[in-house]
Amino acid sequence: MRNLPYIIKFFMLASVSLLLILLSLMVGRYGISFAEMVSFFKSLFADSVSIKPQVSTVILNVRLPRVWAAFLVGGTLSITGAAYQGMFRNPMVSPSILGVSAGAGFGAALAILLGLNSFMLQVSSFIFGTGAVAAVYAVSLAAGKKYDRNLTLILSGLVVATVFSALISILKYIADPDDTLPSIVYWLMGGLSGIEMADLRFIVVIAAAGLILLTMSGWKLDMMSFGDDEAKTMGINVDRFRFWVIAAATLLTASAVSISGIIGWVGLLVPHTARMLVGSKNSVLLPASFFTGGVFLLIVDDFSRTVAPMEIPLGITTSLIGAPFFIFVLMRSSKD
Amino acid sequence: MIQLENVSCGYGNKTVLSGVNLDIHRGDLTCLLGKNGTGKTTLFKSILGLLPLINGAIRYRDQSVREISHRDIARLISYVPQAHGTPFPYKVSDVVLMGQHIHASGFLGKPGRKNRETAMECLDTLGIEKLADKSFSRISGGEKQMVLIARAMAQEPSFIAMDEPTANLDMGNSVRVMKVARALKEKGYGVIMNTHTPEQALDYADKVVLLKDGKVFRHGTPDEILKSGTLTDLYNTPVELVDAIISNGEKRKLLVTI
Repeated sequence: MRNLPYIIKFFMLASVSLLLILLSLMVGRYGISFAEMVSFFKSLFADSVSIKPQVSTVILNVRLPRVWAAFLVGGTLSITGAAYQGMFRNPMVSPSILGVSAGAGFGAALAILLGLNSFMLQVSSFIFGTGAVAAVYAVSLAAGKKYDRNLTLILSGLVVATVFSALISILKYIADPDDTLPSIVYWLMGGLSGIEMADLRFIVVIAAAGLILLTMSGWKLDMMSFGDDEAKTMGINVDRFRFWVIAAATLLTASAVSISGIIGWVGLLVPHTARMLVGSKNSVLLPASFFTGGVFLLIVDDFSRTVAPMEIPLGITTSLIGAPFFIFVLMRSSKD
Repeated sequence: MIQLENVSCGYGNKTVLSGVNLDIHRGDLTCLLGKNGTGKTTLFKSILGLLPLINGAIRYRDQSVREISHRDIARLISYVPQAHGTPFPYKVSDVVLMGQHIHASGFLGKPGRKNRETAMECLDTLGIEKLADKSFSRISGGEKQMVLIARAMAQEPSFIAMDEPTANLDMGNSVRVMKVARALKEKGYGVIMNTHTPEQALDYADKVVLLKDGKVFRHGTPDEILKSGTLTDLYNTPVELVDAIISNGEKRKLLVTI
């Protein structure tokens, strides 16, 4: 697999993605047979083909937005994780390292507490997510150039995330235990139930732009993983480049978290899997991470909504699958 | 030529070296010698534009380093760090190609065919083309150092700065790296090297700069300044230079500790 040309690998990844998207449309409480799926697609192009209205409703209004959301959120978190791992020169880094998830979580919890609608919840979550990273960036600038910039960023991220976690706890503490508290807790566990196509307009644009921009700067990320000094002596404007990567990664992660809640592990694990498939070169790794992440979260979401009578929050499933998988990756990399 | 005029450099307000006046020429191998902590790396970083100067000026072809972008400095001088690992495995050919970043000719600033050809030529020149498809993480320390030199050549600079390039290398690999450094200066590059091994300065350098107590202690040709007394003062350890004739009849100076 590793020695296949990149074009074939991407063709395979795209094919697997498409196949899984189609399969995911069929899976769920209301089962849709293969024949019904075929009729549904025929009906899109020919008026003469008739299908049951429930099939059309389930596919278009329930499954399609959800499947798209799972794919986009998985892809977005994974490409960000891969970009951060390259930039911070650390394979243990995840997209939430600079506090975006904690900030977004606070924004969402505040919106729930204030009784705002789902659109405003997304906006609030996005604003606080990006705001948290802006605060981290400002703190790292204030720390000056005495210390390694990556280190001050990660430490500031830790501090800001801790503050937002405490603020979330305050909101939970004052929330109505019969009404808003369960909503906050459930949102923080992550999930995609009830998502509509309209919720995805923003993330589609950001994910497409992020995918293109980060992939294009992939080979600069390769140079960044040799350290700031070496990257500078090879002609990279390190501070400016780091700012743009953080800005792009923050927009991507905040837009994903604002619709899905906090979903851990994906952004940490998937880049490692993608690295096994296509190697470490970021211009190839980043798009590969996007597709692999999309496929991964799609499978996890299918599992979450079908395995038990009640839907399991995505954050729980990714953690349950993620932890043993991470041990597998560790054991495999220690053999290399 | 790189000119250092009354340079003071250090970290923040802490001056490590001051009053440095030096001319570094193309076609010369210049060695910086001094005890640990005397400011060799600080001076190196200042020359490479990685540390702001506290005072004085560094000029490349009459242009001050303060006025040049990293991109333009990278066209003039490239950097060979000590051989090291990377957190992720990259192919050797991709590592060398990084040196061509400033000359990227492909779509939207990505490397093109010409850049890849230049990177391969650098590997060929050093006789390490067989490493091209290997993982940089899995080759030996000596090979890594050669790959990093190839990357520095791929920048197509006028000067190459090598930071203790033989630290952590065995004797055979050290000699190979030093011979490459000599070959580079013979090709017309100006090579600047930090080293803890005075023998390398004796055998390979055209100019030697000795740093002590935050100043340039001596500078000149190895014959002029590398004397038993000077080295004893520099390292605060009694050493003696002895004349020797090796088997091919060549006269050499050997450094002996007492």
